[in-house]
Amino acid sequence: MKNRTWIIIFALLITLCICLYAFSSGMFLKGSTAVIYQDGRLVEKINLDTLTDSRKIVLTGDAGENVIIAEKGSIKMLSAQCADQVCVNHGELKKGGTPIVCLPNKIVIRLEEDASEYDGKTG
Amino acid sequence: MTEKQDKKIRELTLTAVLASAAVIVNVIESSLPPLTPVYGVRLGLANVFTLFAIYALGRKQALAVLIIRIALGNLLTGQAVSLVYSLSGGLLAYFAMLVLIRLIPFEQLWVIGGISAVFHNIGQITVAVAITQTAEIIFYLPLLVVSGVISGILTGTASCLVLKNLDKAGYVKIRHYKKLHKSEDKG
Amino acid sequence: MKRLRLLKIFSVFLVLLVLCCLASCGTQPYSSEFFAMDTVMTVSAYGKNSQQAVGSAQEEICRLDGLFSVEKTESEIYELNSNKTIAPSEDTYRVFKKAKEIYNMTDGAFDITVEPLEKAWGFYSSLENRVPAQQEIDLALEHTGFDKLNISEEKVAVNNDCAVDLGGIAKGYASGKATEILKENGVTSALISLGGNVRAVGAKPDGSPWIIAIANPDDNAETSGTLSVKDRAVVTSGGYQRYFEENGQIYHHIIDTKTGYPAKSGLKSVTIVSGDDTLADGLSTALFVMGLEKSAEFYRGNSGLFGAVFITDENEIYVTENLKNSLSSSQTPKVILA
Repeated sequence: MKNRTWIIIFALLITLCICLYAFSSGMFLKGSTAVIYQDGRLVEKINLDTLTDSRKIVLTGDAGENVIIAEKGSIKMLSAQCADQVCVNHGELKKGGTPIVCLPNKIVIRLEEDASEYDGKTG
Repeated sequence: MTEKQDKKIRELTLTAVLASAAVIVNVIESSLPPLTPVYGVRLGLANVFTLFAIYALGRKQALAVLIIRIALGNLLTGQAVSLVYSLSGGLLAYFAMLVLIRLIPFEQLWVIGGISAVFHNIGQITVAVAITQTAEIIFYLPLLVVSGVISGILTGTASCLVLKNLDKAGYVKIRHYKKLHKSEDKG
Repeated sequence: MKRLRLLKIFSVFLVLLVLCCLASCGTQPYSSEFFAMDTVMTVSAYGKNSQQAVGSAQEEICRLDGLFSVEKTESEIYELNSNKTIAPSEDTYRVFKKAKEIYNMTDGAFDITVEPLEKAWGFYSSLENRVPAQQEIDLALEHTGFDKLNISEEKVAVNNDCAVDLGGIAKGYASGKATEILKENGVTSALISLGGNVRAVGAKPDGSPWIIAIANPDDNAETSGTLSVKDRAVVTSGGYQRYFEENGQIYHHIIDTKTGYPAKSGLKSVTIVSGDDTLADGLSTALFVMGLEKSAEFYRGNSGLFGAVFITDENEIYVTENLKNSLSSSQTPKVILA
């Protein structure tokens, strides 16, 4: 195959990935309900829209303490005692975005659509 | 010293040099800010040495360079935990290369670099998801692929140029691999 | 040549983007929220053609509102109540026929000639809520009942001093028509919500049943349970929906046409599940008036037509046998056997 063909293929692949990345944060993870998982278990579910005072959640695991701060409209990892600090550098989640992951302590913070348990309501 | 012994020593030296260079790159890479939250999932810059070794030394030696790099690299950076990630990514990229070198001509080494980078990332992410039981990590795959492909293409281009020049200067001899089928055109 | 190639690349990119958009559109419903029949209505449909289908359904609901409203001066019902006779449109005739059917099967527990009573109690937006004198109620009672109503395809007439109110059936009829329109437009998955009347059209896009919550009669923000249904109307009638308080006494809007007073049947709400929207709407009122025991009896004779969930004054939940498996609630419901 010609070089040009390969360039096109790679360009397409990169666009696709960028699209996926943009969509995964923009489309699939919209919402204002923050869910926090540790070790695959749901630890906390916070509706960020209705939150009035900021909340501090401290989780401990093998790699020490993680401090999560939830405020009206946003949630972030304030501090972590692990070495890489990826979760802290991730910044805050606001209305959407890729989930914050802290692997050393197996914590995942994700925004979900305000998942109501039902589709309609009668009465 | 016979010709044969001479060649063997040359090969051994080159293997050692490549492996040590790869280890250094590994260490440098691990000090870069991580792209993903998975400790040990990397761009795969050091894959360039596998690629280089395949063409300069052969498939077996390339595998040796790969194993040495991963073993030493993880020991040096104290990332024994991430050994599995490095292995999964490195090996998958290696096997991808084995196939690719028989499909794509040497002049398009950058293509091989780019594609094997994708496999490197897929391998690492898959294993990371399996080990950590955290499916969310998959969200980082597109990001990794983009950076991986770009760095793969760059390192592929670089090693192509280096190999060509070393070949011209007589330091290494570029190996030629049989094509699986005739490519439609050249360049 | 080069330009052609660029064009090709560009078009591939475009196709990619469009595909991404389509992929995301596929799971998003097309929704419309509007005000009709004194309540907020939502129609959401999934799949292609949903926008047009929802538009047509909304139009139809608003058109029916224009026919059935008691208070809109241009409606057929307004005309009937003031002129005592009309030449009914097809829809109006069908509603009257259905109303009579439900009146007969429920022994008069559902009665659209309730208008004089509702008026006496002031349950119209132009009136003040009040407790009428017994004399007034007796007089209004004389003017209710289907014998005061003459229905034929050409003519609908009521006796003098009598009037009709389709409030207990109009939304059901409208959701039935809206469902028909959605289906005609090829929509296989939609949810219609007309105030408390919910209509599940087909199943959810992924094939699973729709989950419809039943409002907690004591706290409308909460739910008392959920029903999983496919292709069914779910309608609730409850005293908590509209009421007023006088001298510490609560008077709600569901009037028992036998006593002339708000029905005191020991129930807080009745939820009906049925494939027939109009029937579901009418029965929810009727069974609320009838009370648990009579309703259970009624269910035994008509278990093929509907299912029901009752919430009693003591907050106990009763469910008919045919709905047992689709109801999930915080407390274990008591089952009414067929």
